[in-house]
Amino acid sequence: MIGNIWVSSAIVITLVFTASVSYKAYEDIQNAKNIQQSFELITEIKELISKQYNKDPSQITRDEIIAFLPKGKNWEKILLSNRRSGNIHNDSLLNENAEFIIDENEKIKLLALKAKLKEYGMQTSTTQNGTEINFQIGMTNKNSLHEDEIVQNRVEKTIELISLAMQNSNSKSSIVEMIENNTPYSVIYQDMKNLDSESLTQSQLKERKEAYFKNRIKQKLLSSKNSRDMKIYNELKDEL
Amino acid sequence: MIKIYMFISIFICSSLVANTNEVDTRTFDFEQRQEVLQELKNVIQQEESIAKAYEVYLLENYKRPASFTDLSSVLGISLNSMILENNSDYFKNIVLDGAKKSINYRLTSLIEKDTFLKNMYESDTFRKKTFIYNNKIQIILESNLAKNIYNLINTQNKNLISCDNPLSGKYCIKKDLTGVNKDHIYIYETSLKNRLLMYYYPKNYEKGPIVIIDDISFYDNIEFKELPLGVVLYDFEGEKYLKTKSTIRKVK
Repeated sequence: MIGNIWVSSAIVITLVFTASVSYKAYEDIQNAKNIQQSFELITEIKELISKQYNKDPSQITRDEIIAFLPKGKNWEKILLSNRRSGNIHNDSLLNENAEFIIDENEKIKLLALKAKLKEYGMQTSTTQNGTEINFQIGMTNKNSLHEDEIVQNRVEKTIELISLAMQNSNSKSSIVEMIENNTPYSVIYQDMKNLDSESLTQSQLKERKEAYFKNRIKQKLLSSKNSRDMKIYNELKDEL
Repeated sequence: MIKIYMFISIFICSSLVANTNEVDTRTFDFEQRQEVLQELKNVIQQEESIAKAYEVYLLENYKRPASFTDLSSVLGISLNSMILENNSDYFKNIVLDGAKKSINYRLTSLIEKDTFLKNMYESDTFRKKTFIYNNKIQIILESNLAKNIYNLINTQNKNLISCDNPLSGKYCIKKDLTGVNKDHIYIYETSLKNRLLMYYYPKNYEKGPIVIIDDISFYDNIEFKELPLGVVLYDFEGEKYLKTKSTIRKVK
């Protein structure tokens, strides 16, 4: 009799234990799937924002993603690492800079995210803040299609800034400094080498990118069909 | 009794002010944050619409709008209606500086303390015709004609008005004698308007023809240097010229 009770109890305990382990495994798999789905959606949203507004995807913030999402319909869920009970403040999958963040102890989530990063061929660097790992995801080849448009936008914006600086009678040297500060180094993807065999130091590369950017401004001014841009060209042609 | 009423009123007012000051957008949940972000986008959209209306006004009137009221007819909405669309806790009223082509910075301190909202407002993400510079929203003119008209107005610091008006500057407008509503832009050497340097239909500015003085000694004046490259010119004698990178070249 006692033996039967003991056996029954053991079976019940085993069943409960198995059930809880199975549930935990199921939940882990669901979370991993959710993270991969969120990754795909967020990457797609970043691509759309990047295309629509000519913006470097790595510069897109979480707020810009939230502003892009339709209202209602539980869209918050895609920003959470735990969809069941999480909220944007304590369980967000993205920090405010829209970098993926995952606790290092959550191995399955980490694996799920890394698998997606590998699948998408994205260059990633990580930083650690306590047990939290931040993923800084680089631009993919797909994103780099917009780099020229980003440089072109920066050229046009810089011309506007030059125009304002000239109206305020700023000195030529301060205008040139402002142009150099506006150079979008990270999106000028050309290697800037005159010869394949040439090797450039970081400061040489920086200088050549500045020269390249100035030249883009000069060409844009020359091709402009208005007196404002010709005025800027006449004023700055020797500095560009 | 009156004192009690006054005390109650002051208490209610101070609690309302306190409630407003206590709002911290950084603690908002997803839906509240999304709502603020949508409002922020709407405000940026308003500023973009104002920028567009500014350009239309400039092209139609050859002058800079003096205030927002001048743009109401182009926008099809009054300033008050536009302000009513905004949450005054978050956004300041619109003030347009027509001469400087700019709008005031509109975030209140309440929303400005949220760095990410501030950055979004100041970024170019949702802006095409505006950008932030020196704590103002600067208007970008898109068309070459608008840029040209604005440059002429800025250079002489006067709107382009009828050349028949003795108070017009050296850049002014003349009605075409043969057409209806076809205006010419006239460029004189000085505001005395003794010597005409050139004139053109505004829409011909980019490619020509532009009619110019036949005395080549004036071709070094800034008005000639600022003509677009490749524009076709005819002097008063009917000789054809082309604007090149360095000079005004006669075409044989």
